[in-house]
Amino acid sequence: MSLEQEPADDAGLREDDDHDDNHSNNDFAASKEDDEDPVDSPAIALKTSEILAACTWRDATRLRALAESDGGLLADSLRRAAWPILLGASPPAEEKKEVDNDNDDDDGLAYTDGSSLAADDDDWRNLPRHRDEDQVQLDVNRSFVHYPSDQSEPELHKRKRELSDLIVEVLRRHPYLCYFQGYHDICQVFLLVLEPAARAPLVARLSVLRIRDFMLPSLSATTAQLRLIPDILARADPELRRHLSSIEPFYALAGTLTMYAHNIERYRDIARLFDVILAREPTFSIYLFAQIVIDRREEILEIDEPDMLQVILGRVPPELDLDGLIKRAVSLFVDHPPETLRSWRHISSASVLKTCRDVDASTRQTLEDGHRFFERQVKEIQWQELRMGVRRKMWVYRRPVQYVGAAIMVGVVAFYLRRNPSLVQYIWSFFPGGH
Amino acid sequence: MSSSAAPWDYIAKLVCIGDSGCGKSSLTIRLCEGRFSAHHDVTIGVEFGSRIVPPRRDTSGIPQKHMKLSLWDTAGQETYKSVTRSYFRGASGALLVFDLSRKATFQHVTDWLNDLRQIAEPDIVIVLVGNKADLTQQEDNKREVTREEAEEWARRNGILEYVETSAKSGENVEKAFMRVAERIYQNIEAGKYNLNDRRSGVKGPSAGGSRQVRLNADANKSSGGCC
Repeated sequence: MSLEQEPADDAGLREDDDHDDNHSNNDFAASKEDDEDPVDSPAIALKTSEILAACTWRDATRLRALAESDGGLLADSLRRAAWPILLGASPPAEEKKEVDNDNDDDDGLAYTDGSSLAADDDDWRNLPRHRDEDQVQLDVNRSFVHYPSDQSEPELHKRKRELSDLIVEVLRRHPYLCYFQGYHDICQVFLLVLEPAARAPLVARLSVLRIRDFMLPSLSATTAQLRLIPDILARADPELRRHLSSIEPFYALAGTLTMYAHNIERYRDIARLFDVILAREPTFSIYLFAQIVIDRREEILEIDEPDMLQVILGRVPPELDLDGLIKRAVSLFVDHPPETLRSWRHISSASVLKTCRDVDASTRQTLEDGHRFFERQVKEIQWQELRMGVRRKMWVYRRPVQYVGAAIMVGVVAFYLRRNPSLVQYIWSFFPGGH
Repeated sequence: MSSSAAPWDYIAKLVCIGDSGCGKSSLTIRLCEGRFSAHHDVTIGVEFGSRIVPPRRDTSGIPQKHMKLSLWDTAGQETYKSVTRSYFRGASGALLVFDLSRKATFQHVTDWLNDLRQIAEPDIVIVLVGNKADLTQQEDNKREVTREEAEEWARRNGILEYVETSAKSGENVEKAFMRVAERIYQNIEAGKYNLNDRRSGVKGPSAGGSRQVRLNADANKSSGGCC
């Protein structure tokens, strides 16, 4: 993948052409005049070359700053180079090419973690079916609702087939992952941004190392993440937190679970949001949601009915000033970092929120590391469920348990006192006039 | 949305449940917005819709009491059960939906019913809905579940009624929801719900309504907790 390639004028910007952007007040979030090519702006041109340079040097730190600042990574052509670096995909090992492929001249870029980027690398089709493939099919049939908008039926059909292939390939190669509805929303964006050969390896890294919690056999790690939202509110806006005290934070489920791909209907916006989500640690996504809630506080404080609260909170406003939102969410994160949140200690140490706490280190993790974290969390969840089950049983049988427990206690105390008679006197001394 | 000039007399909470891809969202959209959406998103967690209906067919000229159906449309995928089940609490009615063209979705209604019975109120009003009737009316009949077996299952399991619907054409959609609404209304009139009880799935128009509703949400809160 050469980086001195095309200027940022293709895929990513084609969406810019037909959309009017009135919420932007800077050069980056598309121009005010529709026909003005954003590349013309000196600021955009400068940022474009900065991104290209950061990609050439694989300077992830610089790239993360660029992904966060106004406009994000600007265009899909730049994202194609930058996202693999942000996700820590190994650089293509060009020299291995000749060794691997003397039979044909495909552009098979072998990745050092064992995955291969060869375009005709179809061997996954022979792998055993994944248990969730029926569900994948149901969801793929209902995909590409909002974008791309200019597609004919056959094109749409082709997209859906590609989407199905992408999801199924990742699942078959990593059969322990559990598919969730909404994963297909995330994959749609990756599919539209990336070249075919780059998709599955990158989505695999995303799945195993960044959104692994959502792909566990139970939703409990996900709901544990959601519980951080009220905690952030408690620190940043206690009044708002009190106002929402009657409802569960499930309103944030669709947003956080899909990296907002389920809520944000404009392709350009979701691609830009993905830039920053991939650039920062996974917990940032939670702060984003908290910030969206805080930004709407006046509207929310006026609603008393819990049902309505759930509904309003669940809907991410369509016209978001993304650059502003991201800046505010970053401040929120800095002012109230995860360690200061009450429920942080309930987050498993194998959760992506903790294994990616250091983003730099997380880019060096391998898929095998991710698998190990996954297994550890599965065990924790099983243990948790067992405990919950016991507690529930204890509650049902609380009377007999109390009686038996009390009887055992009396027995233990009696036995102990018999062996230590002096203790009787000691205890007795606590009662007034007990001598 | 303030409740001061509420155009309804009661609010009843309904849930729409069943396997993925049976058309729960399509039924909800059809009822609440009166349209069929061939392209709509997959439901993640829950979606919400509401509609105000007169609970009785008016023949007498007596002023009608209006009921607001607040409708929670739930995700069908098993994964989401821990979340969607928390919405069952306090529901006074349910549409248990399966896809007439996929047998497996009918075989799973028993599981859904068990979940519902475990969590929702004991007197919850349930209608069994066989959706996608349009697929059974075309030349290439896709029906995999007969009316008889569905009715038989409904009878055995204490279900109020079985209705075959098509969210696509709109056929019987209104009817399915109205059956639930009517029965809930009859229950209200018979004094079955304590409208001041925070656990009840029906809310009256009484003063302090919003506070009452909030208490109800407290009951909803503990998902998957003990007791």
